[in-house]
Amino acid sequence: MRLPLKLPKFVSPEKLFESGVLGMNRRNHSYIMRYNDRRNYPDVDDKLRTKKLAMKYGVATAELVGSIDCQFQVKSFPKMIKDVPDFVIKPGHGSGGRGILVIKSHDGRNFYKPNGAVCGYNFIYDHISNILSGLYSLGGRPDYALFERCIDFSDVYSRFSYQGVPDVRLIVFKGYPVMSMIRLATKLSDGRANLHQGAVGVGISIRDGRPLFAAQHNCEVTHHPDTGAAFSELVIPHWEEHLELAAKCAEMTPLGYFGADISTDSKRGPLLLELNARPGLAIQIANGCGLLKRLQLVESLPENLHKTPEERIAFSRENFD
Amino acid sequence: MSEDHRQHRKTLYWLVSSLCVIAVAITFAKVKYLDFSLSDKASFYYQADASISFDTEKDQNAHITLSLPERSPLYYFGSDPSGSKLFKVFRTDDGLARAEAEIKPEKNRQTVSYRFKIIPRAYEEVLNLPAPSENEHSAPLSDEAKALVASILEKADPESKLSPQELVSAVLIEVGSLSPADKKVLSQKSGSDAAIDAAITVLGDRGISARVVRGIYLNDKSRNQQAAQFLDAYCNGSWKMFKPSTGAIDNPKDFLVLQRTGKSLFEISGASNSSIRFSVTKVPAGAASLNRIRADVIGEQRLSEFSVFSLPASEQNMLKRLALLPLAILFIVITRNIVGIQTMGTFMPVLIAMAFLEMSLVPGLICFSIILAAGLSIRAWLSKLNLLMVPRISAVVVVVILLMQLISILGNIFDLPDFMSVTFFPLIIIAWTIERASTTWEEDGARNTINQLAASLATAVVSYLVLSNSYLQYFLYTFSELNLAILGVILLLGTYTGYRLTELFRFKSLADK
Repeated sequence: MRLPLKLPKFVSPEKLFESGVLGMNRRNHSYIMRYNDRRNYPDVDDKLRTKKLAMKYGVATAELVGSIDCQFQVKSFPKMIKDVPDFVIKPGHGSGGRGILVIKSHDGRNFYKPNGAVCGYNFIYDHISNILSGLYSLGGRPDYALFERCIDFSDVYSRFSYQGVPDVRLIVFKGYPVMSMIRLATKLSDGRANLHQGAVGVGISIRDGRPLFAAQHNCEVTHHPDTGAAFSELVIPHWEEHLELAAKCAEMTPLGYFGADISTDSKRGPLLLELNARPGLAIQIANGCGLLKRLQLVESLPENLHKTPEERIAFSRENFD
Repeated sequence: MSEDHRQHRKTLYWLVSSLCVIAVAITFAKVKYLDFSLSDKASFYYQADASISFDTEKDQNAHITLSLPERSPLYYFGSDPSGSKLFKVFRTDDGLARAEAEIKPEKNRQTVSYRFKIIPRAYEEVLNLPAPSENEHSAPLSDEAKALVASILEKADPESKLSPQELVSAVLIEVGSLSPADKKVLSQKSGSDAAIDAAITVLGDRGISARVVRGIYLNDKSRNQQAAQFLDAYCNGSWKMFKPSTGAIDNPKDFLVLQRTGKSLFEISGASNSSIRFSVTKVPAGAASLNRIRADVIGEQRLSEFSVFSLPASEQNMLKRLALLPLAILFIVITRNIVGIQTMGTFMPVLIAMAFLEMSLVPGLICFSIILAAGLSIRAWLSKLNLLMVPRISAVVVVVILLMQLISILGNIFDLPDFMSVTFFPLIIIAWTIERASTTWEEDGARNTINQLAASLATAVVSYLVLSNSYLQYFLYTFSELNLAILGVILLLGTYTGYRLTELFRFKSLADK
C-alpha cells in the first residue's frame, strides 16, 4: 500500500491530456452543455418522471408505492404504506443521496431503520414535511416525497461494503456505455457510497465486469479498509444486464451524456436507481484511466452506425476495458 | 453541429475583441485628449484670482466685464463657481467669452474678484489661430503721425530689406526709445500700453497685422501681479509673440493668455480709478480630484458626458465600489474555473471582501468569524426544533441582524469605529452561508465544511487585497470602460476547457501510468 499522504506535486497539463483525462471545464463545456439540453434535465432530476419513463421503456426499477406532494396529505402516509412491509422515502428532486430514509420493517406505529434504530410516526412526519419544504431539493424548491419498495440487496457485495448499499455507476455517452465503477461504503464515508466522503470506487471493466483498479480519496487501495476483502475477488453478477439497462436508459431520454446508477435486487436482478446528468469525474481515478479518449472515439463514429442498444453494447465491450 | 459551434465561437471572439478594442480606445482617448492621468500620483492645479479694484460713482451701479481665456494649448481652465459668485459668463457678438458683474455703489473703494482653476495639460495642443481679416482698417492718421511713422520705419529698416519678423523686432525697439510726447502722437493710451499701441500703428503702415496679448504668469504664490503684455504679429503666415521691451520673439512658459483677439482685458463703467491685479496659488490635488476638476472644466466645453466625474460626490462613492466589482468577479471566475477552488456560494467571497473594504481587514475577519460561529450554533439549535426551511432561514437572518446591531453598539461603546461598520456585511448572503455550512456539516462532515469555509475566507481575503489596492481603485474608476474588457475576458473564460490547477493534482495518479 502507498502512503496516503504525499506532498502536493503537480503534473503537467500536457501529460494529463496525453493520458486522456477529462477535466471539469471540458466535461461541462464540451459534453454536458453540448449533449445535454437543459429542457431534458427533468428526465433525470425528477425521480417520478424518471420512474415513469423507465416503466414505459421496460427499464427495471424499484417498485413505486406512491408519492405525497401536499402538506395536508402528509398525515395520511400510514395509509399508503399499510400493505407494504418495507419502504424508502426519497425527495423527488434530491441529489447525492440526500434526504433518503430507509425503513426495513414497521407495524404502522414503530418504524425500524436498517441499523435497527426505531423511530415513530412524528419522525417520519417531520421528514416528509422537510422534503416538501425543499430542504433536500436542488435550489431549495418545494418538492414532493416519493415512496418506493426497498431493494432487497443481494449479499454478493456484503464482504466489500461497510453498512451502505453499493451501486454500480455507468457513464453512458450517446447510448454507448463508456466507463463503469462500483462505489463501496466505508467507515470513513459513514456507510455512504459518496466517493468524496471516503467511499472506495472500484473500476469495472465494460468488457466483462471484472474489477480493474480501486481507489479511495485519489489513492490506490487493494483491500477494503474495514472488511479487509481483496477487491480483486469482486465479481459483478448479471454484468450483461447492467449494460443492457444502461443502454436502454439512453433510449428513454434525449440526454447524450449521463450516469446511470444501478443496484442489484436479489430476486429481480439489476434495477435502475437513478440517472445523473452531471456524473462526476472521480470514476476516472477508480478506473485508473481517463475518459476523454473513449468519449472522442464515440464522437468520431458516424451517426447511426449502431442503431440498436445491442450493437452499441457490442461496440463498447469490444473497445473499452 | 460542430459547424454550429465553430460559428458560435467565431461570434464570441468577435464580441470579445470588439469589447476590448472599445475599452482600450476609450481609455486611449481619455488619456490622449482629455488628459486623464494614468498614474494615481497626486499633482496640482493653479487657482488664479483676478481682482478688480475701483471707486464707484454715486447712485450708479458699476458694470464690469472681464475677458476670459478662449483656449490654451498648455492649460485647461474654467471658472471656479465657489469663488466667482458675482460674475456670470456671457459671449460677445464675435463669440468671445467674458464674465460680467453689476456692482452696487458704495462709499469705500471696492474690490471684486473672479476665480479660475487652471490645470496644466499633459499633451501640448497645436493652436491654429485664424489669420487676420482683410477688411481691418485703422483710423486715418494725422499728418504729424504719418511723418513720425515714416521716420520710425526709416530708422528701423533703412535699406528696406528686413524680413517681417526682423521688422517687428526693430520697430518695437525704436518705439521703445520714443519720447513720451512722440508716443502721444501715435497713441491715446498711457504707460506701457502706449508703446505697444504705437508699434501696432507703425506696423499697420507696412501692412503687418499686430495686436496686443495680455495674460498672467502662473507662478506659485505670486500676489498682485499685473497682466503681462506681448505684441502678437502676423508674420509669414503665423502669429508670433514678441516681448515689447526687447523686441525678441518670446514663447513664455507657464503663461495663460487672457486676452488675444478681444478688445480689452477688462472694461468697467460707472466707476473710476479701476485697476486689475492677479494672484496665483498652486493647489495640491489627488489625481482623481484633478480628473474631476478637468471634467468640470471640460464640461463647460460640453464634453462632460465622457466621464463619471461630473456626477455628485455621493453617487461617485457608490460608483467607485461598482467600478471595482467586475474585477473581483473576474477573480472569482479565475479561482473557480482556472484554479478550481470550491467556495461556499459563488459570489459570497466577493461580497464579504467588499464588506472588508468598508471595515478594514482584521476587524472584518473578527466580525465575520463571530457572526458565523454564533449563527452556526444558533442554526444547530434551530435544527432540533424541526422548522420548515423558509422560516428557519428567516430566523437565521433575524439573528444575524441582531448580532450585527449588537456588534455595532459594542463598537460604539468601546470606541472601535471599524466594528461599527459591521452593517456593511451582506446579511442575506451571510444567512445563506450559515444555512449551507450547517447542511454541509450534517451531510459531509465537519472537515469538508471547514475546508470549504476556509477556502471561501481565503478567497475573500485575496479579493480584498486586490480590491484594496489604491492604484487599481483609481484606475478602474477613472477608466471604468476597461470593465468592458473585463467582461470580454470573462466571456472568453466561459469557453476555457483546459484543466483546472487542482485537477493537475487530483488526477496525478492517472498521468503516472
